[in-house]
Amino acid sequence: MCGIIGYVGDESAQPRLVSGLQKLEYRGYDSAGIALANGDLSVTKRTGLVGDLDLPVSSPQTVGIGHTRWSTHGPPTDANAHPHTDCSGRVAVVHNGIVGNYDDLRAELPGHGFRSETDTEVVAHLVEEALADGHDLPEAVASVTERIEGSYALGVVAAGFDGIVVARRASPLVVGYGEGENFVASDVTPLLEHTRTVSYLEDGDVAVVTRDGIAVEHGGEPVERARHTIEWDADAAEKGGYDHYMLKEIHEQPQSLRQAIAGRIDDYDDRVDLDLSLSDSFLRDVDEVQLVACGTSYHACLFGKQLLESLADVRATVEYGSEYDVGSGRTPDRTLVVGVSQSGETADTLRGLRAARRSGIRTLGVTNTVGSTVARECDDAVYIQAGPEIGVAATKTFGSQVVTLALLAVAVADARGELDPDRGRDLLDGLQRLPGAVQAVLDDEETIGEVAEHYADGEAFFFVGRQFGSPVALEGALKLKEISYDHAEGFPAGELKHGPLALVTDETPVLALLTDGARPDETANNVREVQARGAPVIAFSSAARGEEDVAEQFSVPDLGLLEPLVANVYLQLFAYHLANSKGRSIDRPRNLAKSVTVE
Amino acid sequence: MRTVILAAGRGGRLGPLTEMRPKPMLPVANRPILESVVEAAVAAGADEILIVVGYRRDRIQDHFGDGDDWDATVRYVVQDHQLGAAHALSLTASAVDGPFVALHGDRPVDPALVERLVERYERTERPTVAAARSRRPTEYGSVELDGEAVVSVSAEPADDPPFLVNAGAYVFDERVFDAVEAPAPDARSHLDLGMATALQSLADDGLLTAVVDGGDVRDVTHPWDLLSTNAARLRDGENSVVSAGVHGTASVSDDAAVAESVSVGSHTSVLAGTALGRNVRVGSNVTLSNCIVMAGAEIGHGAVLSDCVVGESVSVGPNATAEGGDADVVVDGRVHSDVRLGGVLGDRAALRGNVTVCPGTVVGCDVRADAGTVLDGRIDSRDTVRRG
Repeated sequence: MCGIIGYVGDESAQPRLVSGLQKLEYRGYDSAGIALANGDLSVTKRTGLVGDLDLPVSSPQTVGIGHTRWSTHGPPTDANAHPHTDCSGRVAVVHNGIVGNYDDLRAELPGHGFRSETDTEVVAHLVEEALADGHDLPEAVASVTERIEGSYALGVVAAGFDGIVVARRASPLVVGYGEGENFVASDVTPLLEHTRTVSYLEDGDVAVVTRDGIAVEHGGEPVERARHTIEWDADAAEKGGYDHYMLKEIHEQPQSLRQAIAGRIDDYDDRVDLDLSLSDSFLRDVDEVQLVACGTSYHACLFGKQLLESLADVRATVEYGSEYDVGSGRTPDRTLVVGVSQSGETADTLRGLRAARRSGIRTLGVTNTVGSTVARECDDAVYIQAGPEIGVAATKTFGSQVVTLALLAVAVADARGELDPDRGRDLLDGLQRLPGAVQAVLDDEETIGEVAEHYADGEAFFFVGRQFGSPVALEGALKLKEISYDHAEGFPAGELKHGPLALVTDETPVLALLTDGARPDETANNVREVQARGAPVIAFSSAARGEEDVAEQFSVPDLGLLEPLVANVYLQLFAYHLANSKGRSIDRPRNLAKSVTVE
Repeated sequence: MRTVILAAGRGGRLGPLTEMRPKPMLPVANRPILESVVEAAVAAGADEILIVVGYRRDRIQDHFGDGDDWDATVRYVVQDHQLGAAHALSLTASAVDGPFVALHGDRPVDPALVERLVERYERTERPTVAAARSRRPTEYGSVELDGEAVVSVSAEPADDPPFLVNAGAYVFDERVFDAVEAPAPDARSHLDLGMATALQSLADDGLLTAVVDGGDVRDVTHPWDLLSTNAARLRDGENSVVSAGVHGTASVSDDAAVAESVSVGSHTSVLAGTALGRNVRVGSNVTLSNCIVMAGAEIGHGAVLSDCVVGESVSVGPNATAEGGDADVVVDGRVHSDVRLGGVLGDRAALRGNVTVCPGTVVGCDVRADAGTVLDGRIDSRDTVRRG
């Protein structure tokens, strides 16, 4: 998981690479480096953020590549930071992905001095050998890609070559077209300040990026890749008066939830239009919908699964992308796999989707990123329309994913002829009232912030709920552990007494979802169990319900079975304010990255 | 020129409408008042806009973000305690450098007026205030001129109408920061005298000039001001009507506005002076006349509402009625006679079927009213109105 940037043009490359890398830091930020070519090659790299690089005040060089790293092979050290160079110091390589056979390749390179513990360095030495055999740089890189196994987005520069050679297999790479300058990057965010015209490279592509053009080859033959114009604003991602992207994004939810349903609900006929290309007859015949995702998206799927089963009368299962396997007993043409990924680049989810496709199963991507790998590789895609999310801890995209899956449940139920008009209408009504209900929670931010600070010293935090409250409990705990580094666990409330109750003491606050849609009466029994052990209980309940004897209580506006989704915003604010009171690095928690493009 | 917009205050006389949002974020023709101020600033050449925020500042920041949608760079300065406009202005001292435009976030302004202020400053190199004639005293006090020079600034006008009043637009330079002093907060009064005091201090030094503007000055002080300002804007402007969700048998007046993702049921009439905000859902056989309906509100089948301000995510049940027309309304112990106000429904109020709203009723936020109840006078936020 890393970010790559490259520039070729008439201007000084260094400031463009630095500002590009800063925009890519959400992909990883434990070390960074840049290599400037044309003429001599110079490399500057170290552990830490891009801003920590010890760079000259100015640099005349106009060709360069940069990298921001999140460690997979070898710890974050100065030596392991990219770019990596060959023995001669004339070739520099940046890489996102994993060279699976690097041990074997390294064994084939006796006499080369290796300076790092990374899988990437082997690529620099392979290119060095190919150049020594008389190839030019594009030929050298193309020949090296034939020898490496695994996943890669590669950027290579060499002394004396006025351009960058890039190659892609199973790691994202995009090229951008400017005037008298051209770019390459892991995604479009760093490019938008320079150009809005881009092409996404495909697996197996090798491209030569020079000042005057970008030549793409695939299997040795020149190919044209479609040019896209990017509409959204990179600047929309700036913090807008908030201290952290995460808080800004929590506050954007009324807007992003409106975007998720915009133009998709026909109020007069109580119907949903997601513009699916999957046919009604296919959806009618489906025996099982498998939802595949990781992390927060996985929790959204747990919510969506219950909606699909109850509305559309179809078996629905949820699988981790990293664990997904096409099990026996399934008929491929009667199975639909739905892959859910905010970035659309999550390697584990892609792995699951590819396994499904290999078995002939049709796939539907649910993602926030137009043109992402998930969107392009699936048979069909639905966008959650949440706008860019920069905070590493996903917030607004969780709600938008759930809403999109709810719309999908109604659409699938309708296609199958199973839609109960009353339940469909109630759900659609709830989805339309959701943005207002979320605003009501945001209006109460001060209170939840005070409660979060009051309980900040808890030894551990437990989140419990049932039915739709269960995935929200898991998500609430994940948010807290991601950004506060506290021990936090979510459980279906009934599971407490089967083990975790042993951990409950008067030093472990329990956050309980007691809203409609979370079977509050049954959960209230579990709340009494933890209270008997002295645990302070923070309850989130329906407006009509009053909890007795709990330490803290918050009411959620009436919204039926979507109430746990509203309560989730309280949990997001709880995590944010608790972590902020401890001075945590909210937008860049340790060891984590936004888009996890390694398996 | 750099522009400072003062938008930290609440607007207490608008009752429940400013419980969840600051006054500059109240919608006129479906856009926050502050948005038209920002647009005027951009049209007059502002590249960087500094908004002083305070009360419910998240609402302003969520809407404007970094200003990219308005082709400007928007930054924020936070006023933690609402100590008035002059104090808010003083907080920007370290962020501005040289002359700058200052505007009030709750007072729409014509870009041409801002340009005239800038020209005046460039010619005289003196702080400049916009003045306008008004038949009513306004929030920022009145001014007395001698030619271009301002002689005195006072909170209440001394002579008979029409008065020459402070129109709430200025060009200042660093000299203003010597003139502003944070006044003690005055809990008893809504009057904010700090700016008038600061202007008077500049006038005393012979520094302040004025540009007289021929346009209207329209304060939005009370809920009925919001309705009349909204109706005037809808009558004069190009109104945006997104008709995708409007049923074929419904009718929408030319002097009405319909935002995105609104649905309007069959045989419903959206009459002049009505603005429907985002995600508003209106049932069938509804009549809405001279109403502001904010985002996410729902109006049930058969409801008839006139001269109403309906807050965000309000739910109005079927056949609810607010007949509208003139009423006597009490605000802060003062009776306002014969003002046109059908009713105010605070955010997230839920009125069930057949509720009757008497003219001039002010319903707080999160109020619940049972089916068939009659609402009158003032109902506090979070109260429940039961039948019998």
